[in-house]
Amino acid sequence: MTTYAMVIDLQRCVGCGACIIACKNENNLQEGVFWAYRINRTVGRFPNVRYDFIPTLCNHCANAPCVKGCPTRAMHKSIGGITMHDPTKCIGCRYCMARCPYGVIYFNWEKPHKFWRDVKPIIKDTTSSPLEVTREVRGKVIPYYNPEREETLPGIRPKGVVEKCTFCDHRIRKGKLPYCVEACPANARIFGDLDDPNSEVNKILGRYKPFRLKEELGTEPKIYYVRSFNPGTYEKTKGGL
Amino acid sequence: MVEAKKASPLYIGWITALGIAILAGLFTTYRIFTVGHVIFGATNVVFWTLPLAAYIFFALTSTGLAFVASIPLVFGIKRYEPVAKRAVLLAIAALIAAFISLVLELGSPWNMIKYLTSPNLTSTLWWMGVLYGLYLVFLVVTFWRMGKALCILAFLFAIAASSTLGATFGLTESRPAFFGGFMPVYFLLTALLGGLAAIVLVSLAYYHFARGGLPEEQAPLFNELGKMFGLVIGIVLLFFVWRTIVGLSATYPEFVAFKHIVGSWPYHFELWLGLVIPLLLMAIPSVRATIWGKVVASALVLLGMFAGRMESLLAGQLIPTGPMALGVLEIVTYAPTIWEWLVVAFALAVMLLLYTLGEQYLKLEAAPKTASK
Repeated sequence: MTTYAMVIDLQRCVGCGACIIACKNENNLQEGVFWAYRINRTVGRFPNVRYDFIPTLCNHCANAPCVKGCPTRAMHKSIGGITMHDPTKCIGCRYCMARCPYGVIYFNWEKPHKFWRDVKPIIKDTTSSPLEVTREVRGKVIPYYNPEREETLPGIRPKGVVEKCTFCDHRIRKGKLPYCVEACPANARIFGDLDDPNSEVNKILGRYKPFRLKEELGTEPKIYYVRSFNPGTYEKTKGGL
Repeated sequence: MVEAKKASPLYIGWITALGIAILAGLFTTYRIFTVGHVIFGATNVVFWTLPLAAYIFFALTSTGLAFVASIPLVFGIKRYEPVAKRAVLLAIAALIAAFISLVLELGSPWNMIKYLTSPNLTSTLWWMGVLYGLYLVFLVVTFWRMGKALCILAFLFAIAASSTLGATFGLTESRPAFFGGFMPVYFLLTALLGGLAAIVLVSLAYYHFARGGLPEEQAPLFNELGKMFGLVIGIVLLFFVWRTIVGLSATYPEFVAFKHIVGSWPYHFELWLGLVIPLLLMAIPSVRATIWGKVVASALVLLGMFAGRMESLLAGQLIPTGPMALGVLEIVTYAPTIWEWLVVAFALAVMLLLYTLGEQYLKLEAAPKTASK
């Protein structure tokens, strides 16, 4: 058995957002849809404030409420416990969005990539139209289209269905890492098999005290967070006096 | 509801108005199927909007009408027989209106096929669809052949479908402001209230416009319905108040949206115009005995119920979850677009047209043959 999981090391994460951009490129995501994203949080009181950056993605929960709730099994469990979505079965009811405690499922409200379908030049008689640019580079709908995404899912999901992170299952099946892991310049994302005691994931989880988002709901998320980005220290006092 | 004088200007105006609403609805349908849900005011935070509230409203009103029809057809209380057929027809019409709202909320009629070909038995939403589908079948069969067994089945499916609809919201643990296990019971109760309001309003409007007034022999029945109506308003108000107290006392962050809603006009519309004033009208015997008292109370209750369905939906959605909170307000706003209102008008017009045609061509006041057996 394999149970895929990801550890995000918040000490190493610099909040650059490369994971977000990489994910969008790899999965041909349209504007406004983020399979990988972030929670921003500001704590403290000015001038003593701190800005937290928590990278997020689908938690691929073992007890996934979206899978239980989906009326047509469009949301289902796949290899290694990945929560996958089949757009051909999706009826667009958005019940998975209601049941997901993490806010990581998006709905395609209209035909994706509206901008790149536009036939009008950006500047009349001067520039190409977005559609011409796509055709020029032989893209599919978008100029930066990634055909590898088609291996397990429609390359671009149609309007009227939901979509979400798949742990880059098309890459995992070929022995590659999810693209957000690959693209992270700080190596803050560690991907592996929870069922393998010697996996890097298990080594880190055994060393640091991990936490998961909304653990109290019992969804058994597979995204773990360790450590905290904090390069500073503070003056030692006796109880604050 | 204004069928009797076919050629009368009122009748022609009524049918024309319904026709215009249906044509506008068909154009809206075309827009939704071709352009997508982008024409709605929905977002990835508030993803269920007015058309879904309309679905809940019509589906539960249909359920409530089935409950009303069950008084004579299942429980054998014969003096309610004159409203039985009308209630069943209205229940069918309301359910069709609900299905129209739902199909337009989903965005494609073909999606319904996937419901049957790829079922998920752990999903309350799947069960809700199946139960409402079977409920419609039993309603239609019941309308033509009011056998006791069929009526009992329709009644049971009405309970199962509406409570499952409530559970669909109640089981979203991550959104406690949908009020968990409270919802199936609340949906059942409010369904009964909506059904009572609908039968009183439509029947009295029919007698006024088509028959020149309520026949004297029917007055005691409608006075009794008025008493029952008042009692159910009171019970729903009690539940409503407790829901408010629980919501206001809760410390879960998700209830911030509910607290926000308690200060909004849909909430106050639902409370004061939809419950308190109708209760007062039905509590005063001299007002309850009047036609206008019952008409005003039932119309207000239906409007309040509609506002309430939207209010319940928003309570669970106005607080963005996790990364959805990025770049949006702490409590997001929502306003329906004209297209969403046209979906509601479309569904309502189809319901009223079906009822008008039924009232015109079918003998709705004939006593059900098998109910008294």
